[in-house]
Amino acid sequence: MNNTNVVGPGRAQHAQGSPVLDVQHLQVRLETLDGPLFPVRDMSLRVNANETLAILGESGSGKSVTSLALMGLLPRDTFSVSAESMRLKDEDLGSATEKTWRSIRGSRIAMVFQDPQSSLNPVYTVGAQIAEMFRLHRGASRGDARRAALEMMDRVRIPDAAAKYDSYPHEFSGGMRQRIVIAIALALDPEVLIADEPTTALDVTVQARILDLFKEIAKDSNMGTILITHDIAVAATVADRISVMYAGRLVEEGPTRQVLEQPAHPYTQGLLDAVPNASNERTALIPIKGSPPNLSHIPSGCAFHTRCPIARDECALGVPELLRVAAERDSACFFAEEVMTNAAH
Amino acid sequence: MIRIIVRRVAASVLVALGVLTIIFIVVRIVPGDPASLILGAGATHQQIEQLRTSLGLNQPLIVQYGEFMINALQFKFGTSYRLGGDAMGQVLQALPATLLLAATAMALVLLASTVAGVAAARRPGTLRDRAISGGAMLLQSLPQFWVGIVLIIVVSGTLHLLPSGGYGSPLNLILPAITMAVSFLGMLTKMVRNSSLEQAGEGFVQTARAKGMSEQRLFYVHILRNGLIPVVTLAGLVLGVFLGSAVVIETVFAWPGVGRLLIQSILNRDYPVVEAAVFVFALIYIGLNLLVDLLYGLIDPRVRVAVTA
Ligand SMILES: Nc1ncnc2c1ncn2[C@@H]1O[C@H](COP(=O)(O)OP(=O)(O)O)[C@@H](O)[C@H]1O
Ligand SMILES: [Mg+2]
Repeated sequence: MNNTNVVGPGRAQHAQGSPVLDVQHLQVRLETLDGPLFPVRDMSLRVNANETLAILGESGSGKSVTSLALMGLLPRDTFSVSAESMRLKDEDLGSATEKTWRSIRGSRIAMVFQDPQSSLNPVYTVGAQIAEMFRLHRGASRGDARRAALEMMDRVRIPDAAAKYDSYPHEFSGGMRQRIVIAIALALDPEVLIADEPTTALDVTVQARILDLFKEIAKDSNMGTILITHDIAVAATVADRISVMYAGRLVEEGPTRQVLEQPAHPYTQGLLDAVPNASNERTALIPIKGSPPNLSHIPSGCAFHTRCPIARDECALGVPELLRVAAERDSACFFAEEVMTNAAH
Repeated sequence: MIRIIVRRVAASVLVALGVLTIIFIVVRIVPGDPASLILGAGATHQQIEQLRTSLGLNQPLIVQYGEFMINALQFKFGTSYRLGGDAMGQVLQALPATLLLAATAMALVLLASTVAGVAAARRPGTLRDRAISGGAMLLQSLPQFWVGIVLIIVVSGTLHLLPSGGYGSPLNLILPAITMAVSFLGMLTKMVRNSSLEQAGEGFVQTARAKGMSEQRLFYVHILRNGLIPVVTLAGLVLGVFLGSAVVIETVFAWPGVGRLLIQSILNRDYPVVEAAVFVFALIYIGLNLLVDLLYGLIDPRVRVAVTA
């Protein structure tokens, strides 16, 4: 067996379609003193190599809890995760022990968190925090780890990396810090990268540059990227496909252009109407009425029916299943076709 | 950074001069005439007057003060009335024993409180945490001299495991070091626990976990270094307090250090040695504070910058 040669072409084949990460019907239960809550009720996602999937949803819809579940990082004493299936290529994550998770975390699935202000350790140099990845997972020597970390700093476009290696996080701007966090995540060439609102805490101009970096990285690597965001514009810029989440459920899924041009769920339509875009340029923006439901009072049936402009009686009764509504398009709305026809005008 | 260090050192020198002044005043206020003390009960009035003159005690106070300061800065505090020989020499001879005791106690405190504090912080609210926190509270509330006496009675008296006092072998060191360490062991354990627990909620901990490291490494490498920041300040003060408690502990355990020398010198009105000993303790205390300031910057890079800026 010649392992080193197999990796390249092997991965390229995966790019043709078989997913690197495939999660079906994920549910996360949270124990509280007032009984269990379900931050994630039914979430499925599939991300292929060399592809960026955006998970879109308002704050509180369960995006972060989903990402932590995918990293095996939810504290076991209060959260329990279950899924019909949860696979990272051939690895069954559903039955992974803590030891297995530790070897997967950072090396096969890596994560970038929202707030670069707090996500780096203030008492270690930025260089050392990148180098740690090579020391931890590859047993690299100090010198090798340092060289590899410097290379990563170049890759995330930190100017004059050698001079910045020994800086501490507080000496960096938010954007530069986020680049370090990204360098840590990319260090071991993971199969899946999860970025949870990676630009939300940054200034608008910096946001754009970090998104450019994500696009560039996605282009030259074979990774599957999951970009979590509440911002439809961010999803539009970077994602190949979009999954829309509402109250812990996947409500719509499809290729970015199609979802944005012809949404198949009234919630997605609502998100679109609330932000400026080509189709509502000349009309007023319409925010979705009401606010996302509280976890302890999720409406019966379709959770969105209380805010939905086209809701009918049956919406409060049964939970609509996620169904194929067109090629590569899934929606969990009883009236998906109607929504799509209306959107087409 | 250099400028800051220079400023701190200058401040320390001022404190040292202040300490000397206080020593001078206190020793002069205390009743008892040094000349009659030196000469003993049988001395004649004339002899005493003669000695007072030769010791400079008949000069105006301000002149005495000037001479005292000039001599003190050269570490000259005169001759020990009781032991003969240079007073400072006597103190410096006893110093290694005290430093050995304090350093051992400090090492014990730091090691044990780190291990126990982190062990508690890793599983907050569990039986383990409650046992450690409760034990820490108990240790903290035990009076030091009582611990010393109980250790002597139980460990050396009843069990005959260790010597109750003396100096020379490492065995002699164990009981006094434990006695010195005990109350701060409780305090620092609680502090390490609380400050590690506080750090465990920080964002960088999530990142560290996402890197795929063991909980062991997470706590001892990433969290502890942050959690130690407040502990270091306290540890510096603790070493200072150790010197104070050396007076009692060295006496209880017949440990030939500066603390015991100080007590004996006070009881015998051996003022030159008292002055020298108090000055040495003060210098160590000042040095420790300086060290803590510098160490603080070493552990927390943010302080380094804040200080230079
Ligand atoms: N540790 C927790 N304790 C209680 N509620 C939580 C906890 N973590 C998440 N939640 C709740 O779960 C829901 C989903 O949260 P989250 O995944 O952070 O949303 P999003 O990332 O989409 O904004 C929210 O209602 C949030 O309040
Ligand atoms: Mg979130």
